[in-house]
Amino acid sequence: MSSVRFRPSGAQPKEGDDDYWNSSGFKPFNFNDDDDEEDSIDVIRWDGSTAAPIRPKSQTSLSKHRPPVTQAMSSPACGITSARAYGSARKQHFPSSPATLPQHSEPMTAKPNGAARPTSGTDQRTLTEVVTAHSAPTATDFAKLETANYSLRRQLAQAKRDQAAAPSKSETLCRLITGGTYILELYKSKEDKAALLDGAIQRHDGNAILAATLFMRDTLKRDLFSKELMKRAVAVDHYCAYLRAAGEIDELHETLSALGRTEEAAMLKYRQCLATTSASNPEIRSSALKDCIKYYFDCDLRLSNETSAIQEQIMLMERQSAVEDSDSAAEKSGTVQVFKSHPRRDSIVYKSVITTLYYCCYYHWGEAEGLLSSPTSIKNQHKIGEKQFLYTALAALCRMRRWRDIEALLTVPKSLFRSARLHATIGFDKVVDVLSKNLAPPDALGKYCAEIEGNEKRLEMAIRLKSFKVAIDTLVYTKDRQKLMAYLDEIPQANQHMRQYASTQLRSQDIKWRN
Amino acid sequence: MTSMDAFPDVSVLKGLARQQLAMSLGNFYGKKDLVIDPTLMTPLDRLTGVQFLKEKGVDKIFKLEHKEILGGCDQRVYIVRPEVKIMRQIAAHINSDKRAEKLRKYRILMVPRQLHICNMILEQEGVLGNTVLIEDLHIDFIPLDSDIISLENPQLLNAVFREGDQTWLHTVARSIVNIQAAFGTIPNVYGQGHNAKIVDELVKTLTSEFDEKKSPLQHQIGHLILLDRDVDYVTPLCSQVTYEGLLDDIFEIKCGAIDFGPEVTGTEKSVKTLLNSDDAIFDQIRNRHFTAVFKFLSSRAKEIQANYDKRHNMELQDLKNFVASELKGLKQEHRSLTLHIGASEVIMKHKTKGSLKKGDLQDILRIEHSLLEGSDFRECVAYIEECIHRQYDMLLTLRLLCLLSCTTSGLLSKDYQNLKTQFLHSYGFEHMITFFNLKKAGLLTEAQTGKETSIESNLNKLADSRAVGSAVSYVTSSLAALQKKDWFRTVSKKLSLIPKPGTENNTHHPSDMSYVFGGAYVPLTCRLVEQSLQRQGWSGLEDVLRHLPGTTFEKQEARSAKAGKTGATMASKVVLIYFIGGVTYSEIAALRFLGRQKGYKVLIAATSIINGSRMLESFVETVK
Repeated sequence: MSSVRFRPSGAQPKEGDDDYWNSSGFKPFNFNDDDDEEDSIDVIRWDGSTAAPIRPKSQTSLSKHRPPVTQAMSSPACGITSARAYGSARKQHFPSSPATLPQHSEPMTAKPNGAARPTSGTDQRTLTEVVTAHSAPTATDFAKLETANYSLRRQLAQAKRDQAAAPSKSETLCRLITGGTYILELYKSKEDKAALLDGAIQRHDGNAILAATLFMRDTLKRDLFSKELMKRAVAVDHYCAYLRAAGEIDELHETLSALGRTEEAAMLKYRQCLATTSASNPEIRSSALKDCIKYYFDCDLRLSNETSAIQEQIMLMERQSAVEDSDSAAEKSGTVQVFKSHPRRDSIVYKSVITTLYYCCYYHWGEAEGLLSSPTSIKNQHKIGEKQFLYTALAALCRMRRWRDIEALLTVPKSLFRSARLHATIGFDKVVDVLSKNLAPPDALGKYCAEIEGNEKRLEMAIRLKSFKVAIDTLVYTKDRQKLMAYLDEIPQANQHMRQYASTQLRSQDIKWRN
Repeated sequence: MTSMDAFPDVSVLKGLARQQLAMSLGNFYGKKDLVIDPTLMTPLDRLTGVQFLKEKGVDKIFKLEHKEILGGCDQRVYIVRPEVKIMRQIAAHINSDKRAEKLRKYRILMVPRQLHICNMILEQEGVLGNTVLIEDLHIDFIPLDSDIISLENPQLLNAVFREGDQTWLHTVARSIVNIQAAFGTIPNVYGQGHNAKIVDELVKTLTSEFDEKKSPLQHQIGHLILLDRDVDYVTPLCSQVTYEGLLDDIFEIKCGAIDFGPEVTGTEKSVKTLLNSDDAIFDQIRNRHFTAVFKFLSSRAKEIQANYDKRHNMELQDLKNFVASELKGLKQEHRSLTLHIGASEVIMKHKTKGSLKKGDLQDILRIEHSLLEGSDFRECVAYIEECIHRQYDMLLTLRLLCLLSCTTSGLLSKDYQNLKTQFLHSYGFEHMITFFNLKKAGLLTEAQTGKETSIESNLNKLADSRAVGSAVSYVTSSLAALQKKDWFRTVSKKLSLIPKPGTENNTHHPSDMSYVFGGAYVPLTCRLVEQSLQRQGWSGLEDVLRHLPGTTFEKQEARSAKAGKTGATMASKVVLIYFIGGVTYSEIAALRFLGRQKGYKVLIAATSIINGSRMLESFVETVK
């Protein structure tokens, strides 16, 4: 707005200015542009001097009043101002209008400021002007520069102080949440730190909560940090999640113990123990586990179940290691038939109890209980239930095709009052299911299929497994003539024997058919 | 699906995500290699293609692994989740480049935002500097279909519900803010759950902090329902019997796509196919109960055959038209039909014939139904024992165990110890950690007796009495909530989740949402959605909701304010349901059914699509 006022008097240089500014990159400082003008006024006022009224002078009567110009140049915008002036000078040199000549001396005073360096050979006369101008500065000029310099320093210091003062906590939290830049280090007092954390918790942003927590950890004394942390359960959760992710197990363990979360702390140590020994041999792992029990489990009665489980695990590992050693040696020696016909696939070390039991049923069935590889010994040591044992043994023996052993397993021996009979705690339907899923041939199944209790179940199973005799017998037993006739069609032609059997039954006079 | 005139077009979100990616890659001039976090591979696949990346100057694409990347050009972009482990891997890469004196520029794009700890780790590893630039890559929702959007962030479940780490909830809230920016501010919000409440508050914070004006857009979505997964763990623990659910359980659907192996295709090759409403055949069968699928497929096959046959008695001109217009569609349908018939056959095999490692689906379903009804407890326990004894697939056994616990509000101490011991024998002692994790998440708990319960209830009271975020942590309070005695039975009675015996259930023409579980159970979450829409809030349900974990809240816009505008009335029939912690395909099917039945247009958002196995997998201990 001020430029508008002064425009008439500055008409002559303005033309040149326009010429220049239309093609220049220094646009922001075009005084004829209203928007930019506001900018430059701001900048000059920031100086704190009476810059605003000066600038119009510098624009209108540069050649007449030197001191004001220097003052203007001492303002932050000075370098650019002079550059502008110099630029316009260069432009106006060739037109060489006398009115513009004196202007050259003005921009050149800017040279000591280093803002405008004339390129070589623009104008000889200008240089001489410069020299005279350079020698010109008076004591007043220096004093003024000195003042300006002082005030600038003061303001720089102020600006630095401004930056060092922390922005409000909510501002910082907002930046944390929205992904802006923030500096937590500016908060020095414990109260500020705590307030920052509380603010983060209140805003529910995990990132901010963790940032504030970790900042506290790094800048507060250990016990102060713990005290503040323990007061805030949400912060504890985030801190623990971080420690787990970052693998700071010891710190995590300490935190959990301090919180009284012994079960979690013990589980953590147990897990760490397994993770660090997963590649080591059983001896190392078992001694590590023993330490683990001693230090982290024994102290809490509530963990007695877990403690005994780990003790079981140690016993199991000792067994596995012994069996593995002797079996792999036997396999290498090449003298043991079973390892040749059924090569071992995988080491049993670190496998589960039942997998180990299966292995021992597979390779070491019938061994005396004194041996570590004996299935019975595993069963007794780990208190494996009758059902569980039966499922496992059946599957293993079936895979080995040891039908006699299976029969022995399912037979209750003859006693004083009863002859020997078949019996299975899991029920014969399950026996048949296990055997068939382990690919037992139909003739091996027939015997047990016939033992299934419940006619419907037995029939269903017999039909599904193509155990023809059992199916026919069941249908005869239920006196279901219609079904038996229908079933006859399902028996393949190739099985003449069974077709014959079914037909005989159908023709039999002794059966009182229901239908 | 019904016509969707005013339905928000979620593919817009895909465009936005692509833009973000294009911008981030475009800002990094020149040729560069891309290193992608394995968990982001499939989601990125859904958004872009190799062609798109090549256009943006991507040269080679690598998967982020622990090992070093050999070769590649002098600029590299990492696209990763902001996780500690991943930061260390990246740091290792950069440091090894430094040692080898390879000069490279790096950009690390963190999806969806950078975290304080990530920058901290990179700083600690000494890799920050001029050559490493870290940026946010705001990708949240991946539209999987016209009515499903997902953050595809399965790790959220473990972090939020087990560890109580709220970091990812910011992403959930941010995704809602973005939705509102695209489709207008949603006027009505109902929620149930501790985390749902946090998300709602975060949405408010973010909206004000980002200084977003209330969206000037006419809102296209009338209701937002926020639900925590732990409000209903029961539903994802049940075997799914809708077609899409079965596909997910048996073949696993990843980010809306499925890999059919040779057993389905009948050839040696596997076929990867997208499963969405663009596939007309699939769209028809995805929500059906499995028993109703085969009939449809066979009638469809006949139709297609008939259409093919038309061409035999056609004039030349007609034939030309036929080839030009119909043939392609027919071929596509044919291809899809072949695949789905193949898949159905495999499903049938699973259903009637268990394998060595899995029981018959029929047996499992029977046990699940008993558990839901609360009948034959001993038989159920016996079956679970059998699963353990026969070393069935561990996730199956765990799923049934958790279902047992969730439906009975915690196992009796004797049963718990007994089952746990047998489980550890069968699957390994290390799984005592799994048990601990499941206990912490509230999935498999031991019912507390007498004295201890009162301590828990005191803790609970303490939690209620204080403001959110103070003394008692989420994990503790949610455990306490679960220990409210027999809450599942109470809730299921009050909301009649179990249809009365004798109620006719027609799986071909279902009459209510229970059809997704063969008429045995209405998913709790879906019933809550139904009720809240019907009541326009939770009023009258307080008696039920107080039994559920977490807090209840609702926010409603003054009714009269928007009345009269036609757009608003249309939008009032559009509802966005957001599952924090994941949603199952069964729930999606039930909600689609609900939408059709009640005239709502349903849009489903979730942090990931889950099923029983995937949900439990995140809690299973993997150390050997």
